Amino acid sequence: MYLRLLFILAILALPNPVQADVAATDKGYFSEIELKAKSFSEPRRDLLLNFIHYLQTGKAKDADAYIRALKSYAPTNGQPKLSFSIFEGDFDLCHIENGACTRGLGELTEKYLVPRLKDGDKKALELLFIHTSLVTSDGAETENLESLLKRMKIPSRFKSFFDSLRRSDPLFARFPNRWM
Amino acid sequence: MLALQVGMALVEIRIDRKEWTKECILGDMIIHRPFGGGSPFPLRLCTLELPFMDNINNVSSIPTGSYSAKVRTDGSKGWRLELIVPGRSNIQIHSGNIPSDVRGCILVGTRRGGKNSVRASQLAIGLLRNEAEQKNPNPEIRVTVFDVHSAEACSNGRIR
Repeated sequence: MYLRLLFILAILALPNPVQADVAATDKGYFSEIELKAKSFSEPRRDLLLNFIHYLQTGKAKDADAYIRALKSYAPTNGQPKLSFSIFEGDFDLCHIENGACTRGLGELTEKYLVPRLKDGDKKALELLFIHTSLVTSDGAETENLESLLKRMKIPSRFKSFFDSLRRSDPLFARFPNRWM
Repeated sequence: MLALQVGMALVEIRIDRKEWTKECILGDMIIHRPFGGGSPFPLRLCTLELPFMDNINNVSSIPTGSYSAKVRTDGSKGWRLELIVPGRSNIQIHSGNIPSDVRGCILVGTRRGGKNSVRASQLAIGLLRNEAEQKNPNPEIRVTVFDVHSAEACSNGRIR
């Protein structure tokens, strides 16, 4: 009994393997984004904080928190969609050196979300599908998203999963048909 | 076109839209050399954009007008310019060749390809970067887009 307790305590003391994967060089940039987000108004602030928290932890409950936030701000009929760039990142989230954007949110998404999608992580896929259903994109953001969907053959590889989501939640019906 | 600001170079990029097809708009990009750059001629490149469709996200090029632009080097896509366009987001001048490479952005090449393409895009981006950063790694950049119904785009087909 005592040994079992010691074993459990030892496991708890180990660093979370997903959190440990966040490179030291990225931690500073995540903190910079968090700091900037605090000056933003809702819903952008809430969406951003939830999204970058999930990027860092990779935990399903944190993906759910982002999905809940997206749904809570989801426009009703007739309202414009939310605008929130995660595959390129808005310029005001950039790390700036000599006036140029040298780090952007898009590269964090590429580094931390895309491998989870590649591995077929269901929660990451759900996040991608609901994000794409509720958020509008433009320009380089759309180009990056299309490139990702095509590169990983996401619509065809995970069609049955997407169909099951669509049956369970009408919000998924807003996913643009041109990508399926 | 020639412009200077105290302590900071102002790089002015002009885009003349010249040819409208069903799939795209082809044009000339002209970058005047504010400091001479060893050549009396402006740098000329070719541009490709989507047709203009009421400035709708993803399907339309941006309206004509003047926009400030910022340099981005983040991620894997390399050097590019992001334009501040009211009502639009992530509109950039970047490399690419054909209309399906863009969702509102502006592609640049050194010459045109077929009816709906531009070529040597990476080279063109390199030339644009050299020009923009010639004297100052942190230039203020302004991009002005015009409709010019006069001549064939990229008609010289070469870089001066």
